[in-house]
Amino acid sequence: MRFSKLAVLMVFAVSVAMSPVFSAGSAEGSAASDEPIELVYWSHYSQSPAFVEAFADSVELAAKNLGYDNVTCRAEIIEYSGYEAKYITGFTSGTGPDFFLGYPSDWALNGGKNPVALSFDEKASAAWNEALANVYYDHGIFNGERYGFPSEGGSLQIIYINTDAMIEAGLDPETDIPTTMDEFLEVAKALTKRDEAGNIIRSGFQPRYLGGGDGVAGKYIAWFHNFGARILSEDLSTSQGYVNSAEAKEAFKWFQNLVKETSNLELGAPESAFQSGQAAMINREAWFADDTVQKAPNINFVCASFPAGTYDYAPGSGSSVWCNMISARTKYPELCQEIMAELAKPEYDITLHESAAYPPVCKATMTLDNEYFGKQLYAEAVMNMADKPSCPVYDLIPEWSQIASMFGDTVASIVGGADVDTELDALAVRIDQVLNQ
Amino acid sequence: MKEKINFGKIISDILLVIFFAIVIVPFIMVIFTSFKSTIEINDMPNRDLIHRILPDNPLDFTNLIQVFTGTAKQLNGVPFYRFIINSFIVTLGSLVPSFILAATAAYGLAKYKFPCRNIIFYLFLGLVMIPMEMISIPLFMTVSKLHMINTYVGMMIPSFISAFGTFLLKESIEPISDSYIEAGRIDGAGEVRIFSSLILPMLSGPIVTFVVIKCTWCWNDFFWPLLVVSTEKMKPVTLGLSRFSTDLFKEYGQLNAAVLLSMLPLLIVFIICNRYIKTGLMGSGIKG
Amino acid sequence: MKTKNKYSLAGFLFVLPSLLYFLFVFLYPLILSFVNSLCRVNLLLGTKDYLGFSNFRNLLSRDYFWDSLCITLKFAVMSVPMLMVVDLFVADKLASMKGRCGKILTTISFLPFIVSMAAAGMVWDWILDPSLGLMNALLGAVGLPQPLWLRSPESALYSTLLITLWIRAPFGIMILMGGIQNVSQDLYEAASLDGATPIQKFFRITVPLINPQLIMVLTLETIFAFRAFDQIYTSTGGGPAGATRTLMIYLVKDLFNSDYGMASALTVMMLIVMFAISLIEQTLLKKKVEY
Repeated sequence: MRFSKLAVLMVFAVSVAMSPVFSAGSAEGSAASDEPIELVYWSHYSQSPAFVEAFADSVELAAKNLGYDNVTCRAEIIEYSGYEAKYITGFTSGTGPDFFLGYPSDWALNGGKNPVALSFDEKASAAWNEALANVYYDHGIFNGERYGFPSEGGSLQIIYINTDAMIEAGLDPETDIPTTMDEFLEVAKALTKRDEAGNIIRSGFQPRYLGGGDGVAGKYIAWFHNFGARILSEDLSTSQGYVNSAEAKEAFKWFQNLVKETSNLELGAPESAFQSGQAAMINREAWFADDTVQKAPNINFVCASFPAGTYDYAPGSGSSVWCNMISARTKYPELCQEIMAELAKPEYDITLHESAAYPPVCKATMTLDNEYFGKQLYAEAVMNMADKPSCPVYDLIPEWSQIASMFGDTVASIVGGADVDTELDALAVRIDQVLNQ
Repeated sequence: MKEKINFGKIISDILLVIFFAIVIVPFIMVIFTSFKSTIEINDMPNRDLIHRILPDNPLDFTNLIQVFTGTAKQLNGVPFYRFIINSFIVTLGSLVPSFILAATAAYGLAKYKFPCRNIIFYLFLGLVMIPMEMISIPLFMTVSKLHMINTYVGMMIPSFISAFGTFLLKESIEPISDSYIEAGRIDGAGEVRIFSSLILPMLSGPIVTFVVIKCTWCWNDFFWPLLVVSTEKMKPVTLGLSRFSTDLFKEYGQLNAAVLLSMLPLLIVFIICNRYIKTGLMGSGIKG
Repeated sequence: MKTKNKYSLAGFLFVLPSLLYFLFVFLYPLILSFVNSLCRVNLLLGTKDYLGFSNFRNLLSRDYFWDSLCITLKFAVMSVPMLMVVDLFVADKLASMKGRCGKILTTISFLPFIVSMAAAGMVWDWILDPSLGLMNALLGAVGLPQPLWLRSPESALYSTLLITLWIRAPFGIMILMGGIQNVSQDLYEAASLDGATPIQKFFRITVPLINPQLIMVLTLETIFAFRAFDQIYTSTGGGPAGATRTLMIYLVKDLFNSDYGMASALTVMMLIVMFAISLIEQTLLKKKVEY
């Protein structure tokens, strides 16, 4: 008889549950109606919802300044794990957004007859080409056409140094910042702290080696390029003789030695190690500065430029920056183009980035006397790197994400002590297996 | 002889204690960590054991409140209870249809002979194996043609069927003696009536188990809702939870608070149902 | 006793709604997977070029695929027997406990079942964190060695086994306990009179009589081992150095977005292998038990 009670309960519960089901209906699609226009923006930056909202707010502001009072923009945050599947299904089924964040190479690559990303019209391209700082100029361009603009100046690796550790080691945080690779190794050694038994209890430098290979690759590639090594050939057709070249082996051996001398892998992810004071130096993008101020107020640190190697590239990640783009399926292509052109004005550069304290991307904003950029902790470090030549970029081929995974896995093995020569030769074979198919 | 048995019993008891320690410790840690601030967590390496386990301020509800009300930075103003309500709707909405489909199919497969019966059974069995990730894209296309994107029904579509439930109920119906069915037929009852008023009441144990398992799986589904829903206020708990664990950020205090909140409703369902599960999964009826 | 043939239509009608819904939701995508596995697929363009079996050939020629396969097999070979042993042991212990204590312990042992795989991955990642987490703090306090758990290629896969044990064990215990509780007490009493030890009773009475439940748990755990994804993805993301990159992680992370045709080929292969293994388990082990 308990069962019949249960059944009644279930029927009741279902009727309650079903009532909003049909009333909720489809919220989307209503934008097609005459008067108010609602634009939708998709971004997978779920780590900073405020940054995602800032784009929607900026779009509304831009529309208002252009004289469209009926335009609103709604940001939808897509969970990062699985966002690509979400984008693919959204775009192919026509239920996608008007604006979205992504890699131009991913979404413009398959362009042609059925593009996902809409290339900027003349006015928008010109506005952005004019506005972007040198180091970000290439980002958003695919096959010579502009498809988007970099969402933030987050592609450059910055060195974070714990100043208390420096003082403890007898170094001056003003003058002893490492600028070359040799200096970096020296400083990292000096900052390494050991217990009586000789175990490292504070890493001088902590590398990223955990998680999926693609993430590991992005943090290591800047070190790799500093030695003049490349992962793939210029035409991106092979890795044989590139990823296992003499320069590449030198780069990996240098890094392996750096880790061996100055890191304790037990301390885990570099970010948490740095914020808990267990790592004195790490490399990460600009956003980490504000994050550390908020989460670890007891840690005193400086942001320094990435050290210069024999080849002095800007320390990028080997792939494009996340760019804001227009969906080819939008119902309002002209309006979107107009808004994108408007957003190139310097004032939006601040509204787009201020809420998350991310670095801006425009020439006009990137000066030390700018009231937003100038007061950021990373300002000077980013300025110093902004004029360097862009590093090689590989994500113009669809196989890149797989290759990045493999490359990152190899970085993690070598960090863990594997033999450089054999690992790199095996890696070259693996990458070419994917490239040649 | 006697001592030997006792010795074995001690070892097996110790193993049991270890097992229960492994089971229970994560729950305790989730609760305790919910009350810890990020600064406290970063300070862990400098602390002794007791202070690594217990929160400094056990009445610090900041994490829980921030997550529950949506003031946590990751949630951007969408309160976590909104996600819980959505999951609640989807779970309850899938429960009854999936039960009816699974129970009728299980009964048909267990108690009747017809052509292709085994093929159909293995078809259902095969269904358990399909990684949801793989069929999602084609299924999504169908669902989007039916205009069910961003709706609760759209989220429920794959949950209306329960291959495991069919499997479970079939195994539970099989041991029930055919003589009940025969007796029902002699009394002139129709097949549906025999099923609904004779067989189903014998299955109360397995049905409760079905409810618990189905609720758990619906509640914890991640990939399908990710594709179907993009409006913030329609998202289920799993999507809300994933905000706290990205590649870049791990705020363990808030993460654990969110995990705790996401578990609570199921925990309540589970504790209510628990005493009915005890009769066992299969064959509460009489064996033949 | 067999039901008569005139009822077979009724039986089919009982199965029909479920079957139709199954065809609607799953069969079309499934067939599509088979078709896609033979094609070069571009989802965004909506193009599909017939390739024959070259997706399969290409996949089989990749070292990366074989690595993932090895990891998956290693994971399955370790996790399935481990789960079976633990499930059987705990279920037997719990079933023999009487009174309140037994009930409470049973409830506790089921608890992890309600936690989502993803949440389990996150929580264990926190507990097993070598410097911030609890596990090494405990081991350190007792003076035991403190492994790197999820953070080293050597121990990462074993650590994911621990997570899998935690999250999956309740399910098997739940099913096996149901079976054990249904075994008639008379049999045990008769065996006791014959002077059987508890171990003998366990292997001679309990195990044979819960054979159907054992097969069910074995089949389902094998399938889950092959498609293990969430708990690994949220705790290690397939790293470090690819040490936990199972086939599912390879499929979803690397192939799914870049080469849908090849991803379909891998799915088809996985389905065939899983289906074959469960068929073998079902037919070889399912003996009718008479008593």
